[in-house]
Parts: sequence; structure tokens; C-alpha cells
Amino acid sequence: MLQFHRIFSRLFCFCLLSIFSQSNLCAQALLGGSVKDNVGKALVGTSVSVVELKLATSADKDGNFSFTNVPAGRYTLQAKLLGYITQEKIVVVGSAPKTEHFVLNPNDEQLEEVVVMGYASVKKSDLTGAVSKVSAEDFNKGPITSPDQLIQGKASGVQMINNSGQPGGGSTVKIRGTSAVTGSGQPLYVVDGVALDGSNARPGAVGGELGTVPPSNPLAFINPNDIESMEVLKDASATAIYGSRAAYGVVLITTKRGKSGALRIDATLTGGVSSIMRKVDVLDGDQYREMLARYGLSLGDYGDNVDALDAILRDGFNTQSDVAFSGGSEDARFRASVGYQNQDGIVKTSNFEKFNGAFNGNFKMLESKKLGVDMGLVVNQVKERLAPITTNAGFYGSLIGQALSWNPTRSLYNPDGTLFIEQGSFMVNPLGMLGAYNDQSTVTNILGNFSPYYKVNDWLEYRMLGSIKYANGNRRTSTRSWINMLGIEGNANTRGGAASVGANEFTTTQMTHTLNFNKEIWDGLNLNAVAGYEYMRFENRGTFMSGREYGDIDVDYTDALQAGSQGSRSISSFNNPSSELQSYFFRAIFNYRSRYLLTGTIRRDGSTKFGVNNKYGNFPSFSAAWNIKEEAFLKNVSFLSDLKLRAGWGKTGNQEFPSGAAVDRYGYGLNGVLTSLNNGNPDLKWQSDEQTNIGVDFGLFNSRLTGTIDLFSKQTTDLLYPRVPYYPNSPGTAIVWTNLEGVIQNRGVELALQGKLIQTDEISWNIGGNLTLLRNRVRDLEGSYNTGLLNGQGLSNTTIEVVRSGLPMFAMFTRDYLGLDANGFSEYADEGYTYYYVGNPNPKALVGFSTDISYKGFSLVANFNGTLGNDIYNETENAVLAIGNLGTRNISRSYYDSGQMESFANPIAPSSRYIEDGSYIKLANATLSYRVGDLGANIKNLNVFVTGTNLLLFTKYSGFDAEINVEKSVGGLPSAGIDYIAYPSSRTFNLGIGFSL
Amino acid sequence: MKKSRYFKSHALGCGTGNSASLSKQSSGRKNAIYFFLALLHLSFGVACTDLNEELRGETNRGNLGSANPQALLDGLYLTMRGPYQGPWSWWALQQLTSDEAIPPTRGGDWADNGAWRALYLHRWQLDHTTIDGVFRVLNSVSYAATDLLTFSPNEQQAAEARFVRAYVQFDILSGWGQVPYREPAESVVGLSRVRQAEEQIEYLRNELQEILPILSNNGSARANPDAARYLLMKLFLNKGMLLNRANPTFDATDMDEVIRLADEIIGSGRYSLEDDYFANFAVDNHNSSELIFASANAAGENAGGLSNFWRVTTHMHMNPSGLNGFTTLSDVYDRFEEGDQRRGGTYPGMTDVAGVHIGF
Repeated sequence: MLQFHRIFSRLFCFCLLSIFSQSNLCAQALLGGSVKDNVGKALVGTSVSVVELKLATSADKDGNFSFTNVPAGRYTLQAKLLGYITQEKIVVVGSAPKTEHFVLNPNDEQLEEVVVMGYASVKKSDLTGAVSKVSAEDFNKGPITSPDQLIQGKASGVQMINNSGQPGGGSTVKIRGTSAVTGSGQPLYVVDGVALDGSNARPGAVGGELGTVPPSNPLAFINPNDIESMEVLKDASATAIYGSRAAYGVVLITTKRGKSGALRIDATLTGGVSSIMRKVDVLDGDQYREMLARYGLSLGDYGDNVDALDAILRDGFNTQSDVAFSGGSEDARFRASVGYQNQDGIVKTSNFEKFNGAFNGNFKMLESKKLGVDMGLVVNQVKERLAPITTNAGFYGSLIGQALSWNPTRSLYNPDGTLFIEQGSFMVNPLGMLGAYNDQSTVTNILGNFSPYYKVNDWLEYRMLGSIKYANGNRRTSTRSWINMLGIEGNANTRGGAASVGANEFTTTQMTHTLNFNKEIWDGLNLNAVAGYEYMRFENRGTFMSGREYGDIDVDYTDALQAGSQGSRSISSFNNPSSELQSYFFRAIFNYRSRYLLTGTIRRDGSTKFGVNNKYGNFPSFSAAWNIKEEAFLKNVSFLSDLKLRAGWGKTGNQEFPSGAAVDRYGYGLNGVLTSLNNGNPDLKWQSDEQTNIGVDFGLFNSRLTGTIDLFSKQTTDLLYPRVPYYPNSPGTAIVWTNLEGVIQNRGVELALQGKLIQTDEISWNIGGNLTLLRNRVRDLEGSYNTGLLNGQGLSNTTIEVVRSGLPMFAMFTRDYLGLDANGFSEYADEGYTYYYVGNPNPKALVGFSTDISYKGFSLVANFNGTLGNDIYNETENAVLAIGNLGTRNISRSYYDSGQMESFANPIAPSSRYIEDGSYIKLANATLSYRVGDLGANIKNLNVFVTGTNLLLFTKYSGFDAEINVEKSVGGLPSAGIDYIAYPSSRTFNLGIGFSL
Repeated sequence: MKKSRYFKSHALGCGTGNSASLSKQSSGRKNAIYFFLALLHLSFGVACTDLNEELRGETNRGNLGSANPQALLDGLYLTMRGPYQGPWSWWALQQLTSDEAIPPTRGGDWADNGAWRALYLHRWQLDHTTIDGVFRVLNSVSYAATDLLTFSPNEQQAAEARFVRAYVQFDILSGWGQVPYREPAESVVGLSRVRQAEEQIEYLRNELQEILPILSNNGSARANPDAARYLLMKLFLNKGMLLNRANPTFDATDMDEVIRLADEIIGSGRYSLEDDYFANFAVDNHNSSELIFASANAAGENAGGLSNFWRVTTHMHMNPSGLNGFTTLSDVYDRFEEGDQRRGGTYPGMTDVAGVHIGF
């Protein structure tokens, strides 16, 4: 590429000779030099240009640049690099080589930092909304599998927790509180302008008594190593441009682009080991025998001493390698990357493997460089081997429950070494469960985008973005017949065993046209506007086959699906109603002398999902900002480097409901029998969100200390909910999607601070922190909606959370436990017949803190995050480890440690006894790295690092982890803060190296 | 391609190179404009849409086709199994709340989050699982009967459906004191309307009196005129209670009507009391001369949840094994005189085979 550039420039200048030559025909010389910063570091990639000749090149890895055969003359030599103040020098080129050295000064003003907003980039100083930007260097480190983990604890107002310790598992991301009465409540993710639909193409599996394995993270197809920055748009003035999908906030992901200059190869290799972070205390063999004696029970002691949880866990190895190639010229930049990640989960047999390839290019065409194309392609495949850990296992439990409740005096093996499986018993050997269960899923994602643009002139640019995302998921699940699981076990009546195979295809197409206008329209008044049209189309379809009664055949059931019984076969397929979105949007930012800013946006969204009477919605927003620092009276206040006051208001919407929800729908079943699937609602519309935000951005002591304070108030109305029709209704009647009358209020304060405490040549110490205070309430809602469905013996069909007026969302509403009475039975308020509001799973505060110290070549980064004031319902303790298990299964250690003798006959019931304080602070990850520097001639910037994740957990909660959210939804209404035998969290230690070539 | 152009201009010399490069510039611009317009045309042509939702794997109401009213009617009788067959539903709400049966909690067994105890002790919450569930299932039968009327049934079929609806609506009125309803073809999406006791009694009386002459007698498994008379009897007998539960007063004319209807049934000669009380519950009870209206089951082929009536009282270690659930109180047992058949005893085909007695 460099060759071509040389030829090009040589020939070009030859042609222009006749116009521009002043001296001897074809007299040329070498013009060269270097670009360094104020501490002597070479500034690779600086764009150096000879302005009049329209020659341009980039500074190489040593900061050197050169132009050959520059005709004699007087020119302006310009050096430009983002983050540095552009410099120009006048040079006179004669026949002798000329050298110029640039020393560029960093542009410390953070105000010039560019922030990606919807559909355009805006200078940070022009921002009037509440946006948190997290750049690659601030991301969380460790064996990260999806992008949302990168910003955990980094942005105020954002609660991000991993639902469990499952590798690649799902996460709960809530921006500024909970307001989802249905759906996931997750924000809208936009990757390089392509909006994702948040779906995961992994198919389901036949559940039965075992339950449903939780889904994995739909964002796992993005390689975190390819991400340059993530912007979280929080208030309505920033998100309204995304209209009816923006109510839960928007996260913009910008991937790394090629940098012009010499070919640069960056590689990172890391490997490490993970082990269980924390265990739940149950009894060991001797303690169990003692308890049996205490209760005078004669049965239940089998003589052994076994730790069943230990038996199913292992030290899991993980490895990750990423290589990225980037380079090109100013006009043709590219970046290509390949990545491989393999994580063995701490539960035996579980595994997460990811293959990634990405390519993106930025090309400018025509001599005027007015026409350009940005393109990108991401190809990714995620392969998972899933463990039999589910969210809703019944009496027989799923793996973790089976391991915790395994009788510790009973060996897991027979004397001959084979696994001990007790036919017909409800006690399932956890090692047997692992051996009998085989669940593999492969999800392939291809995301391609093509975006040509044309700069009509300096202030007008047209851009088109076309993208396709194709996801294909395949899943094969089988449970062998020899395991004594209800419905699976083979016996005299049935061969036993179950298997299923599923395949899904999800396609998303997007077409966006935007026109960008950025010009000074009046003296001092700048208008930055964007107008656009967007069209999106979603298509989902899939097939599913299952069978039973395979018996103990030699092959995996999914490889011989036909070997089951004919009567147990089931096949089905689906093709969701088409879903299209058509929108028009406009945003204008008025900027008067960088002092007064006014932003207005409007988006008109139409969706096929809305009912006929409400096909289109309008989502306006307004915000204003006052850069007080620019005012004359503050100009001379030296300790204040930045002070900006912001205020905004806007309306957004949410449309997370299935396509076809607004119309009557009937589905076909066996023999062509039609059943009603959905009752239509022609008035169905988006869920509306109205938000007001007031904020202050400030900077002190020359930006050594910067921060933001935001106050927000969100009202969510027209609550989407799949209501069961009022009685009388048909047997098995289908739901009707309704916008409920009622309001969900979320109010809070966000504080974010960054401090550069020490900044010398040798030592630097930066800290950053954020604190968010939240309050959530439901108002004016008629009726009460139950959620938080519990499972297990004595708990079937019980719900412990409600959505009801006057209480927070998912308020825990159950019996009030008062203690044990003299006979060892539970005592409740009003004898347990009345339920009370006894717990709140919504946090009162979110905290995040990070510190980054470097001394000479060493650097230590530590990231803390946590939530305060939230409750967790410990359903594991409630359902799986109750005292009544004594004699057959294991019990919680709390009974052994407690002074009180709880009655063996005390029935299992949900109550506030199992509500624990879930507040926690975690040292989520810490990295110690050493910058070796250059090694030999080829290896540059070698650094070695050690990273640990989940290192410290400070909490009163007694479960595996306080960062937990098991999905216990009822009729589409999600739940919060329930812990039920989920995949335990792991602590990892990784060693890695990174270098460039 | 670019390279060749430059070579050409080079060969021609600097002067011509000049104009060549200039024209290359303007043609380049033209190309860009054409490329652009083509893009615009392509993208807009593909994009703008009417936003019509296409159902792919599913269909909407218009394609349901005509349903067979007789099949729907057969199905309607089957839906009655939900609330009436088995001790978990309407039986539980009647017997467990009236102290005739008791669902004790033994350890963790039958604790079920206190659901059963709450019924017995009258301490239920407003979303009690059984109370809500039975309300829903009784109303679903009422809805199914109403819906059947939209499929052009003949007179007999319509009369049978209206009887079934009246039957369940009487129980809804008896249990909850008010009855929600919808008219045929009314959308299930909106609010339903509610009849209070007085209006509902009047409605039921009209319904039953209208269908009485239409119904023909096709056996006890289907609605028949005697069943309608029986339901009318029950209506008039309980009318005073339904209107004022605290202080009921019973009209003499209503009682006369009860007697008149009873005389009609007795006088028809179609029914007589069995000598063996338990013949009404035997496996061949379709031969019993006492049954006026009953729910049909065919063992092994097409049956509801009848076995649970037995299993709820028997123990796990009995044969066949039971659920060790409900029992009764000595007060109830003592109300039956010494020598009353219903107190129970042995039963051929049961006690000699499984050791289980009949009755209390």
C-alpha cells in the first residue's frame, strides 16, 4: 500500500508540474521530518500534509514522515492528530532535502472530545443530554464474554449484573431504574449505527421436570476486544432520537477502526484458571450424623463423608487470543481482527467457545475525497456446552440443587466404582445428572454493514447505512434414560430418555439515510443538524423436534432422533409475523459561541406491531445547556476548568412485545386443529416514557478533577402487559396485549467523579467513581399482578413478588416471619394468612469505583462495583435445604449452627425468613501489568499482565453470589432478586501478554 | 484502472496531461452523482412501506372456517369436567369451607403454602389459588356455552348449551354472589358486565323456563327437561338465601313452585330410588335409576379426574395408593344415624380385592 502511494504521488505531481512549477522543470527534493509529543514520544499515525500540493502521509512508528520528489516551492506543512493541537509550519523546498520536526501539544481540553450520539458524532462540549462514555482503556478486564460486562460499574445510573456464573450467560442491565412490566427491560444496543433487536438465536430444549436452562447473552457475538468505546445515553434528550425503542436507555458501541499509517498488528494472548468464588454451607458427613442424633432419627446415615458440590466442580481453564491488523492510508484504512475464546466453566462439562472474525474499512474516493464508504463485517460463532442448571426445576431439582442436597453420608459411587443411581428415587446423583445430560448449542452471527457517504460540501453530508444481521442457532439436547429423573427414567413401562433438536434463523435488515448539516448560520451561532429516515425489518423462524423413549442405545439420542417411540415424537415450527419499523427523525443542536446550547429532537416511529389505531408515534425532546465556564465572569476563575449546566425533557417509548400482538391470531396444532393464540387489540401502542433531567458537568484544577451530577425523574405509562381477558373467557383463552393504566416512577441522583490525583513522569494515579441513588414506585395501577414464581416441594404455584400501586416494582409480598415458636414451628404475622410488603429487590444505590496506579512500567488497575439496599429472596435455602430434608437429603448449615431446634415437621412455606440483604461491594477485577517495551527489532509495546476477577466480595448474603438474578417470570411479567440454585460465580486468575508488531 | 489513465496522460506529455486530468475530475464527479442517484433510487425503492403485518406461521380469525356445533356441544360437556370432576375444584370450595371435610397439613405434606388451611379456616387472600382458579374455570364453561350460540346451532343444541351455561352460572352465583357475562359474539378483549343476585335469579328463571319445552330427553349424560326442572327447583329453593345471605326469607310461592316441579319429576315415573345408595357411584352407574343429570366417563378411553375422589382420602400404602389428603370430622360422621348406608362398609369388587371400604 505504501508502494502505491509513492507511485501515485509521484505521477500526480508530475502532471501538475505544468501548472505549478516555478523553477527548473521537474526539480524535486525530499521533504521529511518527525512528529513527537512534548515528552519526546513518537506520535504514530499523525496525518502530515503538504497543504498546497494536497500531499498527505502518516507518521510511522518512529514518528517519521517523508515526501519524496517535492517540487521546489513554498508550502504549508501541517501535522494533525486527534487529541493534539494541529500545527502548521511554512517550509521552503529547494533542491536539497529539507527536514522539519514537529512537537505537538496534547489537546487537554476534554471539551473537544468527540462523543458518539445517535446518528452522528457530537463534541462533548455540545452535549446537552446525560451521556456516559467509557473508552477502551477504562473497560473492565478479565475473561469477558460480552460487551455489557466491559462497562459494569463504570457508568452512573447503570445497573449491570451477571445473572449467574454461567460462562457467556445473560445479564440484567437497567438504566435509571426498573420500568418493564413485561419484556427484558434491557436498553437498545446500537453497534456502529446498526440497531440490534436483542434476540438470541439459541433454540429452546425439551424441559420437563428439569426445567429451562437460562439463555445466554445475546451480545456475545461482539468481540469485546474490537470495541473502541461505549456510550450510554441515559436521559430522554439523548435517547429520543431512537424513539419507540429507547425508553430503557441506549448503549452505543463503536468498534475500533483502522488507523492510517504503517501496518500495525496488535496481539493479546491470555490464559488462566477459574474456580468457585464462594460456596453455600451445607453439612458434611459428620455434622449430618450429629444432626440425625439430635433429632433422634435412625435412618439416613450411610457411613460415608462426601462433598457432592466439590464433585461436580472443577478448576476451569480459559484462554483467549486476539490479533488485529490495522493500517492503510488516510484515504483507505482498514482493520481486520480474529479472535478465539474458550472458557471451561467451573461446573464440569460446561464450556463456552467463541470464534470471531471482523473486518472494517473506511475508504475515501474521488480526488475531492467527498465520496466515502465505511464498511464492516463481523462473523462470529459461539459454541456452548450447557450444564443441566435451570431456573425453574421442581422437586427433583437441577444440578446445583441436587449437589447441595445430596446426603453427605452417602457415596456417589458404588463399591465397584460405577455411579450410584437409585432407580425410582427422587434423589438424583449430581454426577449422574452431569453424565446423563448433553446439551450443545451453536449460534452463528453474521453482521455486515455498508455505509456510503457523500460530503456535498463542508457543511452538508449525506450518508446511507445498509446492514444485515443473520443469526443461526442450533441446539441438540438429550437426557439419558438411566438417570432417575421424573419423566426420563426408564423402567418396566417405558424405555425412558428424552432428546430434542432445534434450529432458529433470525434476520434483521436495516436501511438508514441521514443528511448531516453542520454550519455557522449566524454570527457565532452554529447549527448541527441531522435529518433521517430509517427502515428496519425483523424476521424470525425456527423448527423444533423432540422425542422420548430411546432407552440405553449406544449412540447419542440426537444423532438418532428416529430411535424413540412414534407416539412420543413431536415436531413443530414457527415463523413469526413479519416486523417492520419505519421512522423519520430530526435533530438540531444550536450552539451559540459554545456558551448556550439548545438541542431539539423529534422522531416519528411507525411499527407493524402497533395496533391499527396507533400505527405511528411521535417522540420529541428538548434540552438546553449553559456552558457557564465560557462566560466572562468565570473565565478567570482558575481552579474551575469546566462548568456546564444542563436540563432536558423528552418522550421515548418501548415496544418490546412480540410481533402479531395487536391482531387475532390462531395457530395450527395436531391434525390441523386451530387454537387461539392471541386476542387482538387495535389500540395497542408503545409503552410511553417521559423523562426530565437536570445535570451539572464540572471540572476543577485544570481538569484534574471532573465530574457530573444528574437528577432525573422518569414516568412510564401505557404499561405493556399480556393481560388475560376478563372472565368469562374461553378455556385456555389467549392473552390480549394491553397498555395498562398506571405509572411507574423512577427518580434518582447520579454522581460521577474522575480524579487525576498524581500525574508525574514516573507515577500516575487516577481514580474514578460513580454513585447513583434510586427510588422506584408504582402508582395508579388497578389490580395487583403477581410474579416471582417459586418451584419446589411445598412451593408450587406460589408467587412472592407483586406489581401493585404504592409499592416498588417486584415488591416482595409474602408472609412476615416472626421466628420459631416453642415447638419449633414457624410463627408468622396473622398466622401467615395475610401477606405483607417485606422486601424490595430494587437497589437504593449503585456504586462503582476504580483506581489506576502506574509507576514506571508497572500499572495496577482495580475496579469495584456494587449495589446497596436491595433484598434477595434465597429460594435455594427455602426449597432445597429445609430441615424436613433431614434423613433423606442434606440441609443448610444454619440449622446445625443455630441454637434452636426447629421442628422436623415445620412445613416449607415462602416467607420473609428467606429474604436477605443483598447489598454488596465486589472487587470485580484487578490487573497488574508491566510494560516491557520493545523487544528486539520487531516486537513493540510488549506488556505482561495478571488479571483476577471476582476477587473480593463484601456482603451479608449467604448464597453463592450477591450478584444474582434468576428469571422467575409469570405470564410475561419478569421478576427480580430471586436466587434459585443457579450456576455459581467463579473467581479467575489470568496471565497474559500483549504486543504489537 | 486509474494507473492506465495516468500512463496515458504521461505519454501524451504534460500539456495534454493537464486537460486529461481536468476532464477526469469532472467525469469523476459525474460518476459520483450517478452512483449516488442509483443508490438513492435503490434504497428508497426497497425501503418505504405501508407497515402491514404479515402473519406467517399463523392465521387470523377470518380463516377459522365453520365449526361443527355438535362437536362444540360435545366439547362443552367435556369442559364441565374441569370444575366438577375431582375434589380440587368446586367440591373443595363447597366441602372444605363448610366443615364437612378437612384438609390437614402433616409436616410438609399438604402444606401447599397454606392454601388448604386457608380454605378451611376462611382466611383466604383475595388471590387465593383455588378460589381464583374455580371462578375462572366455571366462567370458561359459561363462555364456551355462549360462544357455541354463534355457530348456528339447531334448537336442541342451543337449548342444551343454555342449560349448561345456566348450570355453571347458578354455581357462580351461589359461590360468589355475582355473575360476569358476555353476549354471544362479544369480543373477549373488553370489559364484561356483571349481574347481581336479583338480576341473575331472574335471568336464570327465564332461561330455564324458555328451554324447558325445547329440550328433549336423551339420557342423563345430556341436558334434559328433568334436569332443567331440577335446576329451577334449586333456584327457587335457594332464592331467599341468594338474595339475602345474612337474614334469608323464603317465599311461600317459591316453595310451592319447588314442590310443583318436584312432583313433575317424580310423577313422570322415569326415576326411582335405588336400594343400594352406592349404586349411584359404581362403575356401571349409568344403569342407576336415580341419575337425572350426570357427567359421562368411559374408563380407559375418555374420562375425567374421578379417581381423585377416591385417592384423596386413601393412604399411600393402600392399594391402589392414595394421596393421603382430605378427611372428615367426627361431628359430620355422627350426623348419620347408626345403620345409615352412607356410613359405609364393605363393597364387593373393592373390599375383597383391595381392602378398601366404601363410605365414611
